[in-house]
Amino acid sequence: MKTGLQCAHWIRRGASRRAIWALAILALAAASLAMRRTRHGSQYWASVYARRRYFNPVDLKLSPHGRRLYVACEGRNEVLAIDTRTRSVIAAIPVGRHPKALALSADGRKLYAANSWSQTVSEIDTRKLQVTRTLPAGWGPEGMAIDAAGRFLYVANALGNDISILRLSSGREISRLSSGHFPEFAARIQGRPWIAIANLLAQPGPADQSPVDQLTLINTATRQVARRILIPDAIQMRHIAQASPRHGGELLIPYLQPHNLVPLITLRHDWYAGNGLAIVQLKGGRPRVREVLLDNLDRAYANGFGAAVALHTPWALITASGADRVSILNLDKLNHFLNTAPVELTRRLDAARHFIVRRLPTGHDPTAVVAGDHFAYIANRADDTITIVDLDRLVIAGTIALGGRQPLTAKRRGQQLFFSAGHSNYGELACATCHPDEGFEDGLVWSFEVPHLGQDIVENKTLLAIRGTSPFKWNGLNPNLATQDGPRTAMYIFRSQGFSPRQVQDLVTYINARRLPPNPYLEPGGRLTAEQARGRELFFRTNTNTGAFIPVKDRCYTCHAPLTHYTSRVLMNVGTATAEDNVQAFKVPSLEGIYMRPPYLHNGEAKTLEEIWTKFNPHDQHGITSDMNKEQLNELIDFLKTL
Amino acid sequence: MKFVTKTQSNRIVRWAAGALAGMAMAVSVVPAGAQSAACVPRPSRARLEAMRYANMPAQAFPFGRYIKPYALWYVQPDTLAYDGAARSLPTPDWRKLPAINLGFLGPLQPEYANAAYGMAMLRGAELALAEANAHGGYHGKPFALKIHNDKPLWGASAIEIVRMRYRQQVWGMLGSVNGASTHIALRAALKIQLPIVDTATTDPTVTETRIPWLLHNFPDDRQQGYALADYIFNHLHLQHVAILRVNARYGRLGDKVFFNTARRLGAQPSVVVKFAPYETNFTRPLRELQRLGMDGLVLWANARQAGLIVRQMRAMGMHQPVFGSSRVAYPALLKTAGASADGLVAVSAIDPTRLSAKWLRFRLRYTRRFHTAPDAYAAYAYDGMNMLITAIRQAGLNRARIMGALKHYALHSYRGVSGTAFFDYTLNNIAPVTMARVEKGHFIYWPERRSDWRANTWPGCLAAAGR
Amino acid sequence: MNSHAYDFSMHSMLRRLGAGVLLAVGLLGAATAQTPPLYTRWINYTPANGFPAGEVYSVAIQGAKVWAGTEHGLALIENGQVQKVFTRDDGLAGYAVMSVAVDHATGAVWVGALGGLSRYSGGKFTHYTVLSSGLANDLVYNVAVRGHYVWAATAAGVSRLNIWTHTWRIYSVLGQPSAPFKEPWAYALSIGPHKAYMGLWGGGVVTYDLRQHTWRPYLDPDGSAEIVLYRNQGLISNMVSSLAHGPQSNTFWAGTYFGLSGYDGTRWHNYLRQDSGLASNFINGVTLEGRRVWAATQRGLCEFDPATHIWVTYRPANWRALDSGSAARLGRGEILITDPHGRQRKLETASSIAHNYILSLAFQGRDIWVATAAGLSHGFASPSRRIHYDDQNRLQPHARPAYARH
Repeated sequence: MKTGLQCAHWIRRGASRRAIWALAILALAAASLAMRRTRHGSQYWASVYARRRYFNPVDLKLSPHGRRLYVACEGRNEVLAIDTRTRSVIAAIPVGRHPKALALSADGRKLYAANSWSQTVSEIDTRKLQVTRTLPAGWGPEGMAIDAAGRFLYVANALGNDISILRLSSGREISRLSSGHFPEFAARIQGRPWIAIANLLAQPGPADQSPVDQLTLINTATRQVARRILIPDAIQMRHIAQASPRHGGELLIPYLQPHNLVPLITLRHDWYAGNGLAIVQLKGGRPRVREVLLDNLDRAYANGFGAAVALHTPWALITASGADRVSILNLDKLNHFLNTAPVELTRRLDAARHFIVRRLPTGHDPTAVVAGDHFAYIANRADDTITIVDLDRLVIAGTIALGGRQPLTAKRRGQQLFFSAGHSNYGELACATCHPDEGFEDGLVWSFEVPHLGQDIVENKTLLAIRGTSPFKWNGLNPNLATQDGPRTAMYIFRSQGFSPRQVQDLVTYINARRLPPNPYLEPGGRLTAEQARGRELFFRTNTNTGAFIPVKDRCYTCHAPLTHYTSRVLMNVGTATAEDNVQAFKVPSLEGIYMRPPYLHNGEAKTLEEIWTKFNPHDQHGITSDMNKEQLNELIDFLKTL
Repeated sequence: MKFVTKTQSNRIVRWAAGALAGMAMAVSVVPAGAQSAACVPRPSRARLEAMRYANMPAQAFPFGRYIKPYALWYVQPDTLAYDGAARSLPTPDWRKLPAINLGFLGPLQPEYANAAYGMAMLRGAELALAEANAHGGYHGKPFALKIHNDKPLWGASAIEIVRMRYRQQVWGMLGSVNGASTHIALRAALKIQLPIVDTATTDPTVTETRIPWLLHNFPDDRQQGYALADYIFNHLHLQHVAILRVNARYGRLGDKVFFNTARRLGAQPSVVVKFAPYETNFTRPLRELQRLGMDGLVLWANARQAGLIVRQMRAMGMHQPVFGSSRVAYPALLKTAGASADGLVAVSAIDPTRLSAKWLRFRLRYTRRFHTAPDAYAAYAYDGMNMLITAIRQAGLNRARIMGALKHYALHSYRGVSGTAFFDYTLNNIAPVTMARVEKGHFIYWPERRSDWRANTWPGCLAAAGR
Repeated sequence: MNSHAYDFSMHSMLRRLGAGVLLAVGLLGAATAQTPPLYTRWINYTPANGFPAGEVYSVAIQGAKVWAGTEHGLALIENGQVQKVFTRDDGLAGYAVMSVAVDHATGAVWVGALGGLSRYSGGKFTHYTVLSSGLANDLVYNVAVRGHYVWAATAAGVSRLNIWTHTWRIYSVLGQPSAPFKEPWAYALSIGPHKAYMGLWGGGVVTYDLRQHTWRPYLDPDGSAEIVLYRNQGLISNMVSSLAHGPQSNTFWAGTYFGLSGYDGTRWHNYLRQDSGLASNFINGVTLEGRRVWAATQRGLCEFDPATHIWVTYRPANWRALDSGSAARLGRGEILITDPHGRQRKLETASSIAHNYILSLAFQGRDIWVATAAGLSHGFASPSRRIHYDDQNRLQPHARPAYARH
């Protein structure tokens, strides 16, 4: 048996270099494995600099005693544990892909991370700081809450538009409830047996009506939907905070008030969207919804995101991810204002001055916020930092840096620009205002003014996976992203000087890197089900059911060419133009990820994929489909949803 | 348990008597208020009881040669019994209604098959309605037709009857041509209690459902199948026939009746060939049939495809007689087949060449109004709409009572422009059909004379039909 | 050989033992033979107490809530009061509500209407129609929920929605694999743990094995709508309007417009008005409650016990007058009891079911809810009012079971 000295001698003697390399690799692998389970202290920092990805912290949870802060970092697929006394990261726990949300058991022993791209929930033992179980969830789990008894975990599945109920003892999903459109945020309601789910997007509705978002309340005793509260003129409801009983116990939810159906020519000197706060008052038998704007007259606080209430203070904190600010509300003043002011006054654009007491700067793209007894913590997604707010003095008390690559990459700079409203008039909107969640679409139909009032009403499109699908716009007039994001955005959207050429390039780099989440309609390994495979045959068919030859121009794959992201990138007239349209031919959209982005057609007339053909293809101009039976149409759609 | 009651055994005896007696087609009185119907003495009860379901030949009765069935349907007076509550629904004040709405469901878009039939049907219904309104409508209120297109794509027309009933408050409806559409409407009608007068489908199963909300006056595939089988096997004494039929519901159901009747007559068709509704080249199946040496061909298809088949088979040197269903006997056959069609015999729903004053007057009015000659679909729709209007005038604005008025036609006749209809207990018109033969590029018509009429020839039939 | 003999012997012993037990149970039963309690008291929901007018097509129970599908919307009854009537203005997909099914796991109420399928959850409706979803047709006659599948019987086949994956499947002749549907018009559904039973109007009963993905059609064997060749020939008619599957796989009862058919997995048991206590051959609905079969006919609500072959029919005493459309008002109720020997006893109750034309029924504990052509009826069982019969299933003439003076 060789000793260490003998080994060194053996090495010096020039023993096989291959053996040395093998040993070194083995050692590295072992170390890597060890670090994958948990990385503590200095190991953590070593790993930070060894890797190139940013953290993108998106959710926070504070331990019951307030000594530990947990951070979900979707960019790194990790949950960080931070010691709030030392303000340092003590562990990084690898979880599934794109963890979006955290939930903590009442005793603080179990932490759950919703892995939105893995369709799972990681259960973490907070003493060992290790993942102990991986639980199944629905499609795109992005929000979570645990019931009061700690027996069931409610998971909001953004892509599935539903809520999974997991029995924590067995780790099995026992039920799945329908939610609104794109549920992303969940919270347990104190004093009521309810879990509240906020839906990011409005249900696709009539094109000439304002969007209506939905807050879904689930009764934790029956584990059934107790109520669906409709929030009018609202989309993008985010985090749910609850005031203390002393302050009314109402729910506070930041959201967006889009003015999408008002011809924007009338709003040139005004605003595209207001940033509001929905206040759901729970007193009495029937919840009542009040709404106030959080903007100032001269400055918008774009893209309200996080919400938290400091229990022993009158403060509520609302982050504005586009403004890089946190607004601090005085709940006493807010309640007084709501209870005494006439309704007309509560709806005024300057209503916020009655209850906002402070606007504090944060890092780039502040998202989640949690409040302890004396401090609140804000996750800055595009900064990889945690901002600490002193709740006693209402000042910034410090910042915790999570690390991340330096200097910033072009993509990172583009990300910061994407979420920032600082380049728009009055700081009114960011790219992320209409393309939330890093490039998704808001599901709305917008009435732009160009060139005539109330014409060319178009549906917003996704920015995910758009690389290689130019030209852009419904009429294909923008040849590339740089044109789209540069002068056009500056002139018609931001109404400002816009971005510098370098910034445009950074932004384009960022947008081009946006990817679609894994498609839940695909079976593991990308296999197609029998129905999907038959749908694929229909997609590529060359003859109708009656045997008639389908001209090349009328085949699905001609315009939606698979090799070019299912778009031929040309303009086509498919008979969907209306009296409001100034052109008859529209750019062929990509079909990738189409399952997750209703409504459809250039003007969003089709609320579902079925309607594209059942309602808006009466003369077979949008492919020959009238010979199909309903079974075939279903199968074709089954296939399209896998793209 | 023996629950065969005296009543039941009597029924079996009566059925057997009916089977032996053959067709006891009775000319009868019409219901009160049926203004245009014939008025002849009501036959005896025994004679009515002998009346069998669907005018079925004794030989065609299922298992008739072997066994008495445990139970018989459609031969009881309460076949379409309705014990629901709709008769008690309050009648609205007609004075407050702008019009008395009636529904229409038929294929109207030119690109759909059967649109020609649907358009003719619509014109017939409109003429009836216009004339009814000219005669005072309903207490002075006009009847209004709510027209709904029977659009097969995506099953969209299924909901039309519901819209008629709830959005437009129709009191009854006409439709449709397509058997499946009519079935779907009928099923909905049972639930929403809406009388349907079906004037166009040949689907024999719509009257088999026992849904007490439908009257059917167009000669169905049963009548056509029995007539053709009798003509082919009992008159011409052919033995080996083949069936060529369109692979659609129309062909499937027609083929079934003819096939079963032929089988029970001892001449089971040797071959049944199906072809697609869009098929234009029939060379291959015809070649097979040529090889088999058939005595004759029976076509259950539309006129155009029938014309192509006849033309192609004559070109191949096949000279067997050809027979067809009612949709074959249309001008499109003559146009497509040309001289090849000579000798073809088909069932016709109507004899447009007859000299009945009623028919001639109708043809004149129709032609003046629409600048085209009426066909069978127009004539039956005209009659059906008149029956519906009469029932409404008689029963008032209560759908169940309107249907009740229509039910009085059971075992009664109705003399209309299409001929004299006679209804069995399922409210199906079982009057004899018309036959047509192509001679020198024209159809020559004659009334069906089935071989099993010997004992009970219906003396009133021809007279009632206005010949 | 020895083992075979031993097995045979054991089998024989078990059989004897089983027969003995059955005999003992039978004797015990004969000594105290009585049917379940009769429903002697009725409360009716009609337009007079806020219930929608017209026919009531369906009824479903969700705990204390009673949902009724009516000609003019979906009615909710709770605590003896009509709480709400949902119409198209409230978001219902269609007009007349044909069927209601409760998803007890999620609390959602699924509504099949002439106009599409709706889900009611959390106070809001969501629509599914043929044009906007994978639903086969907008005429939805029946809806059923099992697991995370919602089944809908439509005028163009059976649709199944997976509420977890949001995918639709259509079971029809045009589907793949093609369903052996003689006709596409699905009317009835009964979903078991391993089998889906589908009743087709004109197409008989078709079962679909959910594990093996295999079909089995049950059709009228004589193939002719106009006759019933033999009494227990098979399915009595292809015009199936309703279905209820039994606890054992492959057992079911089918209501048709031509009588009642039961299949015990091996043999058929058919009942007509002519040969049994069935009130009418025109059956709108069939429901199983334990071993008892309930048939909703147009001439009364029939209860049939296959073990005793005793039939009980509930209807208004003056039902013929009601049917005639005259101004007759609902009066006393009638209970008609028929034993297998043809003996009948007629009893009267002070209150009556709302109408003789019955469309469906559901049980809420011991209570029964009945959808009729003229309102929804809530029936209460009288524990002391039972039918007594002897070991030959003959009604006992001296028993005074059911005359109720409620």
